[in-house]
Amino acid sequence: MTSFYAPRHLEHIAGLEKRFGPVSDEVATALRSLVRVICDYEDPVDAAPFLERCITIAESLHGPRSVLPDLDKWIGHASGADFEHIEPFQLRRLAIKTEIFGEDSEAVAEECEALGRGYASSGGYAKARVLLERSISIKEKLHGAHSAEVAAAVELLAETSTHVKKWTDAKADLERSLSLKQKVFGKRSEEVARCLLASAIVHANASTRQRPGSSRRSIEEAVAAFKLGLGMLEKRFGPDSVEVQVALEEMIRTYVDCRQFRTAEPLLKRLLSISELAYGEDAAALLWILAELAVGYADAGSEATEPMLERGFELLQNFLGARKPIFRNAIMDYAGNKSVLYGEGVLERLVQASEMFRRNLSKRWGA
Amino acid sequence: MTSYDTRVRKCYCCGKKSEHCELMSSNSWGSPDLDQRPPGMFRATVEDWLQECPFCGYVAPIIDKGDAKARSFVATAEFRAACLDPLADPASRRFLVRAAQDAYYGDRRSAFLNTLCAAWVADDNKEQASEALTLRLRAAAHLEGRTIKSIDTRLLLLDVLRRAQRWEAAEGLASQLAAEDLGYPFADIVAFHRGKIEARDSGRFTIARALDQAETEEEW
Repeated sequence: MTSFYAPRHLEHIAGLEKRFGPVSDEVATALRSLVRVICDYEDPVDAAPFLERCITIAESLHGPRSVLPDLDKWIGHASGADFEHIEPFQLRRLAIKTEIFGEDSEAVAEECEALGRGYASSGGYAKARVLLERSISIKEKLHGAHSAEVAAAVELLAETSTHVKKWTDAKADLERSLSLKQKVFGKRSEEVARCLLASAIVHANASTRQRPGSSRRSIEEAVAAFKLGLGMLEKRFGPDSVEVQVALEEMIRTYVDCRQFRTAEPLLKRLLSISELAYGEDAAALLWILAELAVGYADAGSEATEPMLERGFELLQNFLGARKPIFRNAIMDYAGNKSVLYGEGVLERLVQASEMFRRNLSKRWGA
Repeated sequence: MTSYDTRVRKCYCCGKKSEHCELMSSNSWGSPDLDQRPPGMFRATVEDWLQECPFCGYVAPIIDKGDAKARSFVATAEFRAACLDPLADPASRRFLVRAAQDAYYGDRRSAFLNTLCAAWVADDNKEQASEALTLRLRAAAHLEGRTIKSIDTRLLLLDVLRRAQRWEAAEGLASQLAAEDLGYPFADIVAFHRGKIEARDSGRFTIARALDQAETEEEW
């Protein structure tokens, strides 16, 4: 026992047990106080055994419904702890909610989703899937198969399989989500557009674990889904809108991670041109785009490397120049992507491209 | 072996279809020239590197591809002037049209390279020796007026100036490059050029020849 407060409280609780009996409201209240003190000042996980005792007593005296507030409070406090500590209490809450509200209830569906998220974040993907499917099935009964609620539940399932990189499942889940969203929100809706963009990212990621033929097909599917989704966003928000820029950036980063520079190149060029118009030709927002183009071109031994490198270094120099430095808070005021100079390794990417370019250049001139 | 195929392409600018003989494969064994003209069979395919739409005059490596810039350039006076260039050889003219498009959009290096390709076409025709020299001067003119940082571009320019017999300009550039401590293989190539400039030799040499000579001199 690591709690500082527990020994004194337990002495007091022992006295209450003698006086009122071990299964009494007095003992339950004292245990509840101890749980609250530990949650407020120490690690909520240390309160777990006292909570267990408290809710066992409360349940036997007043029935399962009475323990829900205690469980809700503790689970809320312990949300940052490892899921293995929270899991037994969440399972208990699910069982209680099922008993009180019935299987086909919003409360049970919500609990299944919360548990599903927990399992997904702690490596229990199979258990997460079962619970999320259970939530979908409940919502279908409550709201109808073609409803916004079911669409949101299916989206959560797709997000979960994507998050844990189960690409085959993610593809199937996104197809299911897409078909549902088309029926619920309309074929040209923003929801459908975003689902297509998510599909494109999944297809691209899936390509990295496939044989060349299948990999190429996956990239083609990614390109097609992205084109369709982006087209819808363009119509809705405008071709140079922030929404389009964000979609381009997400897709580019996926292609770059998947080593698909050729596919990323037209998107990089498009985003560069949008950013030039939106933020100016010397904006920090251009740096990562120039760096990615330089690395990609250098890797392909392309002649386009050098102009990109020159422009990238020149732009970076504006921000890092010793004579007239621009400080971080000033950079933060620049329009566009503000994290470009910090944490993204733009300088490292440019240097990497520069070294590759120098090697290619030496080869070109006979070395 | 060099192989060709005939394909129908729809022009990116005017949308009309035309037939083109396209280069499918070739080889480039050996050392390139000091202006990076490729060796082997690929060397002789220079006339087929660009296609031209017979209807609107749009020029591109593949005429069914392009961008917004290409479409707007076809409507400019610069495009019309380049199409009417008095040079007799159609292949040279194609490169010059492309160079005009590059120059119009501020891509000086590409304009320089495409004009150099036009000079290569002229090189292959003994009757056009003076045209080749003129084209090299035109290529160099694309890079005038701004400091060039690129080693690659400056090495190409050095060969262009030497072959165009612009001895003073070539020596100036060679001195500037020699002062930069460029290391192997660039320094050896610059040294080779300096020897040839001193001897007023405007001939064609390969990179391998330049590096061999440097190696021989080192052994001595």
